Amino acid sequence: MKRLHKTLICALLFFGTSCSKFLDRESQAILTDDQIYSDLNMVNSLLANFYGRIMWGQNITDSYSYTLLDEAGVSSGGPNNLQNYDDAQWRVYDYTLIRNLNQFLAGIRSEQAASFDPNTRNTLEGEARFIRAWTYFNMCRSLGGMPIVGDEVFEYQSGTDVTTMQFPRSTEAGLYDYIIEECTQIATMLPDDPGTNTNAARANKWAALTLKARAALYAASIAKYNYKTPDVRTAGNEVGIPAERASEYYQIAYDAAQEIIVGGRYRLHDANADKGRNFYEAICEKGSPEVIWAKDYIYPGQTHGFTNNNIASSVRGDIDANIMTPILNLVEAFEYVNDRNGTLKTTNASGEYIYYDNPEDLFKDKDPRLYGTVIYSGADFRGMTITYQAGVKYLENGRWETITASPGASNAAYGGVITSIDGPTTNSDQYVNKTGFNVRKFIDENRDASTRGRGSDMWFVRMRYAEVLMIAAEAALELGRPQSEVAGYINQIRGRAGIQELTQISLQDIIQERRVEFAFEDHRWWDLKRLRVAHEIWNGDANNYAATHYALFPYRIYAPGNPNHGKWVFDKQRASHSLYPRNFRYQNYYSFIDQGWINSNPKMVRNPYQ
Amino acid sequence: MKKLITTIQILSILLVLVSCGKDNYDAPASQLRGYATYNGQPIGVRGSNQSVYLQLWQDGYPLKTPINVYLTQDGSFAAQLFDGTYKLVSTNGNGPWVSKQDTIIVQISGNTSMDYPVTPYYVLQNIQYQLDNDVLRASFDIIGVEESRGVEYVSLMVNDTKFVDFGQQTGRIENRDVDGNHIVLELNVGSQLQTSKALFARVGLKINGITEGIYDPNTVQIK
Repeated sequence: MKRLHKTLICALLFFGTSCSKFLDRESQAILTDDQIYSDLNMVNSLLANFYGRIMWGQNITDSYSYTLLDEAGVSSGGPNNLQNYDDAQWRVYDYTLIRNLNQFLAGIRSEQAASFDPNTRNTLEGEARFIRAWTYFNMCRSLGGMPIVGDEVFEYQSGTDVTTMQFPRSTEAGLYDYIIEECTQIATMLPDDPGTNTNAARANKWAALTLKARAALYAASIAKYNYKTPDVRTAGNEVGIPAERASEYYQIAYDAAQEIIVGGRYRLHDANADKGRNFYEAICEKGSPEVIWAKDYIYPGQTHGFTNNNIASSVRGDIDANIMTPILNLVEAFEYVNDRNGTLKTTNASGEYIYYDNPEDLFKDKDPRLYGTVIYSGADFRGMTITYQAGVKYLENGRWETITASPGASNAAYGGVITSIDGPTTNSDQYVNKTGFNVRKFIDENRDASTRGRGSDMWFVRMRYAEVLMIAAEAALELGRPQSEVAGYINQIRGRAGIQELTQISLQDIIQERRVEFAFEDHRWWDLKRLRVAHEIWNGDANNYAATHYALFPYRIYAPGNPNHGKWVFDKQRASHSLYPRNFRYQNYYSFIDQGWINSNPKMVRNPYQ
Repeated sequence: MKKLITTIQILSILLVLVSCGKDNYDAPASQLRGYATYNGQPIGVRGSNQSVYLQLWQDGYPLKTPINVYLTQDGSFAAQLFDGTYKLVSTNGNGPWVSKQDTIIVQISGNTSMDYPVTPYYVLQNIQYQLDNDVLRASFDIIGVEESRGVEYVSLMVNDTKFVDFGQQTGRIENRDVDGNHIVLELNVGSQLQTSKALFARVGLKINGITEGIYDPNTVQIK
């Protein structure tokens, strides 16, 4: 009995004490707002998360994105049968990110962050607002005007009237105005010394101004040129900007570009006498004095597979290569140093082959930027010469006949290598070149970067000084400023590139210059869209050179005794693995509004043609 | 015990046999067929590439996603559907006709035939093709129906398959200064006649500001 008593008391004590606060513990995995916003390391890692969520459009983490336009084609595996651009092409709709950024802004502005000095707080707020402006900008250029939700962080609780959270779409001009206004303020909040910005990975004053200039230029050119597509508009101007606002926007773009130029913090990289090499270094070497904002990578931890995917076969470090390879159209878009027509001279006037002693002779006197952008036959990479050879041509009954083989195969009866290990071929093997070129821009020269396991830490340049000059040139041209001034900006770029300067500039020259200068940098699609020429250039006609992918197939001549023995000839031919011409329909000027978004927000109107 | 196991086995087999069936729909069995027509005549469009389409919507469901109904090049369309009431609409600027916001209610019960009347900007009439050695000659009349949009160009195309349009062709000629209503186009098809096993011809008219054009509803085999 006494024992029972004792047991009872023990049990009572046990129940009386053991459960205290058991369900009331603080989580070890969830950090509270005041833990985050009082600690600079926490805040920085939150900001890093935002920087990591804004990779959209054509970029180096998506090699296939480069095969959609007129820069490159698919080269690995079977043919690509893209016929139309997707109705959701590169559209951005990320209100989750915008809400997260607004939460961040609320945290930074609250008492919890009071321990930071005002300067730091200001910078953090500016960066978050820059990322938000960049997000809106990416939405605007793909979808037109979208709802502007301001700084408010919306919370839903059971019973909340959701209609108060449903915002109608802004006008297209209204959203560009918002981005421009935000960037104007952000520029005053962010540091202006690029020296403290490791690898240009964080936004500073100049990135904000570049975004401002770019947004204003986009708005201006849409205002000026949307008369060419009168049906690409909505009744409420969610898509379409009135023509009378064009000069106002051009002036904003011009002034913002001038501010960066006068600011003098950036300059075109021009340190290497080898102009082709210099252009590669300007974009692909971290620390380049012209890069304003980039997505940076670092090994170990943050790497990507662009080098691994797209390197030439003979220098690859792993099995992968040639996922996408540049096409002849891009190569011919590069001018000659003294000739504006960049067409490669493979045949003479009467249609007969021109025989070249060395494969690289075909590319003699091309714009040196071609070397920095594309690996062509006879060019070097990492100290090795890359030679593309589709086959051997030999004489039979006085006519040139062709023999090809699998990549790397040789035959002594035809004097050695028949088809180079680097291709090109027309078969559907994986990782084999199909166009006769490889990309050099954004390809890492570090040997190990081309392996799957390591990856590359090459950055992706989003904004650089050359773009500022191009914006200044285009805005100056459209504002009717003197040709000498317009040409002055472009000639800085052309002079650095190492090609002849111009005296008369037209809009066509600007489109051309942007195409070659910014190849693979996610400009081409948006440029052709905002200037309303995409449907003319990519018109879906298989006989239109501009809309169709072409390849360059080099052949070695094997004809002992013939004066042309051992020389090289080149065939231009339709790229075997891009089956259809590029077809840009009017509806592609703005991606479609997803039906799901309309379901949850009925105030959202559809885009044209939708 | 053994009896129990046997019983359980039989029961579970029975369960497997009967349990399905309640929550499955039958496949849609009714077909909607028709043409996009003007005055009862079908309109020729681009048939490749999923270019021209109508949309079917159905009310009464919480989530709305249209069913795209693609037109073939003779202007016909077909869709396999459940019985019910649908709304048939065209999207702005998609087909070569004046965009209209009218909705056509379609009642589907069993196979249904229903045309979709449209107002094209132009129609092509009296289309004739004639092959003279290597020269293919096509003539036709343009009848303006709703001339709020200009003619961008008229074109004669050939292709080695039955699908002939602005995108799918091996040879074409186009005339961008359309003057008068009677059009004659000549195209030298010597090389195509030599290299292609079969050759089909078709004429088309491209309208300003719309991706699609109006075509002859028929293609003509010339080889």
